[in-house]
Amino acid sequence: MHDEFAVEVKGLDKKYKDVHAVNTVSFTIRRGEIFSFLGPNGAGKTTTISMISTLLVPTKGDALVMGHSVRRDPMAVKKSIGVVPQDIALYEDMTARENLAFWGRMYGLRGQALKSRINEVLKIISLEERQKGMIGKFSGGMKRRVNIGVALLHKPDLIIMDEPTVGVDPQSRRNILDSVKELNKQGCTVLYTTHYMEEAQELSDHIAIMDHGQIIANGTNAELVKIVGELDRIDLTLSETVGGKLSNFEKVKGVKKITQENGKMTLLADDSDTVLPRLFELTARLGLRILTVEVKEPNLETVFLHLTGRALRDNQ
Amino acid sequence: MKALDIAMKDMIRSWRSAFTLVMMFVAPLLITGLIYLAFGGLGGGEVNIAQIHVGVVNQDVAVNQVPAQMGDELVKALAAESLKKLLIVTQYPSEAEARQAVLDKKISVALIIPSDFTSSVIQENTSTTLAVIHDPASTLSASIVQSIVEPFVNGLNGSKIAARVVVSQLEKDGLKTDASLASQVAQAYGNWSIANVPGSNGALPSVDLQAPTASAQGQSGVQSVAGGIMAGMIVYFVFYTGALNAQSIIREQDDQTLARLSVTPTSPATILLGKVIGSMILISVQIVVLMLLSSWFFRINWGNLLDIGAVGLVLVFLASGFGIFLMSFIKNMRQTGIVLGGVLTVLGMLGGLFTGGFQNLPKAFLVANLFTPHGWAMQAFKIVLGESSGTLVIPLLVMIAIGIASMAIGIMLFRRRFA
Repeated sequence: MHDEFAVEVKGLDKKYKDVHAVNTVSFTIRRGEIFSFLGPNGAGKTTTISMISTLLVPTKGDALVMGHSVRRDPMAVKKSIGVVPQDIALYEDMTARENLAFWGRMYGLRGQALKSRINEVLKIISLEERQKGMIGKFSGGMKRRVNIGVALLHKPDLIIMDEPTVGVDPQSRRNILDSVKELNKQGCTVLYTTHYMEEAQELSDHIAIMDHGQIIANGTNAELVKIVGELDRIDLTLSETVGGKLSNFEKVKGVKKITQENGKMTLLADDSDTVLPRLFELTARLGLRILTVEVKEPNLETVFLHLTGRALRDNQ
Repeated sequence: MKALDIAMKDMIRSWRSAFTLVMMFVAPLLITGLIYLAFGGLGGGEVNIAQIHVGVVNQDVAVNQVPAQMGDELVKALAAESLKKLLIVTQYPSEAEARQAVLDKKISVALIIPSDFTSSVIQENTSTTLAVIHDPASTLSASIVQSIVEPFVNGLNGSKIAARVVVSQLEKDGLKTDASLASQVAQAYGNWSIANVPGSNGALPSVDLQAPTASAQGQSGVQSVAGGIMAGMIVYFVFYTGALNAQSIIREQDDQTLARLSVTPTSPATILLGKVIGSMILISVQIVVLMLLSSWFFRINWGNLLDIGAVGLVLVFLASGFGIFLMSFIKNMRQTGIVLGGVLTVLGMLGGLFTGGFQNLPKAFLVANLFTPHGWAMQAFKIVLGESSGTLVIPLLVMIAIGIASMAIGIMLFRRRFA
């Protein structure tokens, strides 16, 4: 174990009866960084972090968390991590403060130390004024914030967050993302999973893109974008779905990858300046009408499209 | 310490659940209370049965200079002071009028005394029939009237036999007898019989309708019935609470809080221990509260404090263990209704929890009771209440054994699932 790594994953593998959920995954997370898993639903992100957080036992491989093996010393791993599950895992018939107090005790906090820490956490999640409110009466965003707060109580070295912004309003989402950044500033390592490309781009020092149980790319945002090289991304909105005519677009010179969804077509092309006139000509020939055209700089979405031939949103 | 935190959290959640509170305290008291009232619990322990309106048609006539005494005696007996709480007797001149009164629901039962009633008693080789006419809906009233009249008639039949025996004995001894002697003997015996039927004060035997005999000291029949019923309700709802509390493991699994607990530095054994402690405290409170309230509301005497304390403690252990056992077979919240509503109710029925306080139950049913943990718990309560003989040690030992076995199996299955 190198001290520089908060997490070292070596050949982690999880098989169920007929599903290979995670296929021999290896990666490292440096201390103090935000590491994101980006991938569509069912890519294996949650299974991977479940093994890292000791919730699931790996079929093969091991992971070291703060130097402790998830296989050999799961209790030490549990003490050093805080987990924010994807679902709200709180007691709805208890107040926010009662929830925090209970979970704090489960992490071994007692007495005055627990009280002070609850007050600090309530401040971090901006719920000091609603601390006596029943969780069951909170909005989705407020519940998410308490859900995160529980994981912060014992000041863990590593926080594992599984899609913490799913189903929340924009304001709560902003609050959650800012909290993650703030925690990271205070020295906390964060392992974050999401299927929102923008979140991964905004937060992460390192990003691993997962698909079908495997890491298909791993690096910084800039490193990943470089994978697609000089390719441009062109988004076309057509008057109708092209259906069987899609192969005509694939044959256009300069088009490398193509995907379509609800009348919107996304293409990766060598040079948008030369490819666009050809696309206009083809659509006119096919009797289609172009409603909008957008040429974008390559981003993580482009990377995923390039690597898998599918858009991230196709799988959501 | 963490186990206590988990227990405390479960208790807080239970106290906040209106459903749990109703099932723990309100339902058992309410059910017992309704049965208590049905048995006349607020009437000083006496059974309240509505008075029966009886119409009597006395057609009995004198025959051969014998006065129609027996018919009058029967009417007098039915109208006796001792039966006034039970019967309201009205005389009708004819059978037709009495029938009409039954049809008009003015009376529940009509008793027709035939014209040869007295003569059939005092004359050899004669017989007659007393007719009881009643509304089909008043079967119980007719049975009661019949049961009152029967001892009277039996006494008169006895007089006939007595006369025959006296006459034949005299003839055997060579003495000459005649019909009037037999009549005189029969009449004398009849008079004696009416005056001396056991339990009577010169009238009919008093009809004593009682609730099952009181057995615990100082309890009336109704209180004894309430004791048995309340014991059944305590056992049933205590097992329910045990299962309901164990169900919280399944609920936490569905709500994802169990997964979250599993990633805290808390072992599965501690989590289960917390659940068991929570269940035991909750059930202890339930038993104590139900016993205190029931002894206050229904004046139930729970007997020796040491004995009932031992039964309570063992029941706490048994119900907690059995709850864990039942829920260890359940995969999700959708399945828990089957256990809470179905399995526990069937076991409660088989265990005799809903027939507590009733006597003369079939022996096979009493044996079947002991195939369930509920039945053993009920048996222990019956011994404490004095409704059953035998030593308390045996049911307590069986309850402990079932408790240990079910808790061990339940914990093993849950731990395997957590692993």
